[in-house]
Amino acid sequence: MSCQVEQGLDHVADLAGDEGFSLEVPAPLDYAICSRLFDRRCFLTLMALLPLVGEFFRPQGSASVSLRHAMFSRRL
Amino acid sequence: MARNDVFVCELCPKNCRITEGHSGDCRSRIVVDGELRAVTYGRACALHIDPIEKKPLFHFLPGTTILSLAAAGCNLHCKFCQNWAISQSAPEDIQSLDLQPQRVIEAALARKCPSVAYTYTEPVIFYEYMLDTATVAKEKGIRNVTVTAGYINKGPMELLCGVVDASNTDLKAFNESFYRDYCEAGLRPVLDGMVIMKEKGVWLEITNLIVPTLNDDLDTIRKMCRWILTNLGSDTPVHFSRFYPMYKIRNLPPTPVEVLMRARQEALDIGLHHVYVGNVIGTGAENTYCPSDETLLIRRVGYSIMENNLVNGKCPKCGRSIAGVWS
Repeated sequence: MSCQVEQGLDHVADLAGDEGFSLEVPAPLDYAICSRLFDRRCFLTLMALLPLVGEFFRPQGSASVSLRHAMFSRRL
Repeated sequence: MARNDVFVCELCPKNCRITEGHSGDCRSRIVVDGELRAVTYGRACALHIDPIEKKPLFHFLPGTTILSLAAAGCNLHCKFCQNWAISQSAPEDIQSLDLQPQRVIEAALARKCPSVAYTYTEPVIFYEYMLDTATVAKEKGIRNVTVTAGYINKGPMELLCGVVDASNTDLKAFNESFYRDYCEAGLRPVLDGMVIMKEKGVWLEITNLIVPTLNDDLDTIRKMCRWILTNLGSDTPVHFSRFYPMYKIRNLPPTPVEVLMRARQEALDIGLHHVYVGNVIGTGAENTYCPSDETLLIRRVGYSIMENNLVNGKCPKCGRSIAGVWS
């Protein structure tokens, strides 16, 4: 079918190259994984109250996550 | 900087208002630490080498391969999406690979792909990733292709046209209600975007997926073809694509081939020169013919080129130049 994605992600690693790449669940926010378990607001509150718990939950991959500023945005 | 700031994302016509810790409708633009951020930047969820005919692009470097890149998310929510597993997921819910723009282009060069496609999901919502990758590609002599729904604001589209060489834009239907009810988007910005691409010299082909009973009305298809003829020109290739039951629309049958063929004939009668039928093999409607004398120029079967009779982009019989980017 036109432009239907067909192959699994392993193929990405193969194409991109090579060694040195590892598949990981991205964590666009520090609490990304935890947000599956909690409502985000609830979790942010929990974070504010229990920073140590927050550190415990912090996923390993978060350091490599891009936080590139979005273009075409305006603060109200 | 105040934590309760509200941001407006002006990338697409949804113009989402987003507050700290929340994302826009596309789920990939999130306010983090007081800034709106593109969180899928450098995060590829798909990377494949496809024949360029799969995009589909029939008048742009035919017979070549194209490195095809995607990041998670979409600003449309089409109920018939064929790539819904990656387009309708939040970035944190699917696996992706840390793949920065330079590495994408290195992969394209290593695999001898003359072009890179931003595709599968909606490239508009990984705009920064696409723009930076396309810029590196251009420096290395690699062409850039977007496969997009074209639902983007004017400013970002104009900037993007500076690095994009070709686009297949998905024109879902020619009425606002279809866009609203089945895609959660709108038609007007898509039309405006295509006109901008045309004006900026981007090679444009259009795909129209015909879904039985939802957008197969011939009058509407005629109106769409007339609009294309008037605003984009008779040389703009149009692909009528066959629907298969998918995602949330599994209760409808595949589009009857005769419906696709009739749409194609209407488009040709209206004056469009290059009209194709996609997702069907063996109709002959995948081939390119000379608009002047109907000489067979390119014979295709599926995504394969069986015969290419063009001579320097011209018909070998009458010498007419055929619109497209052939080398």
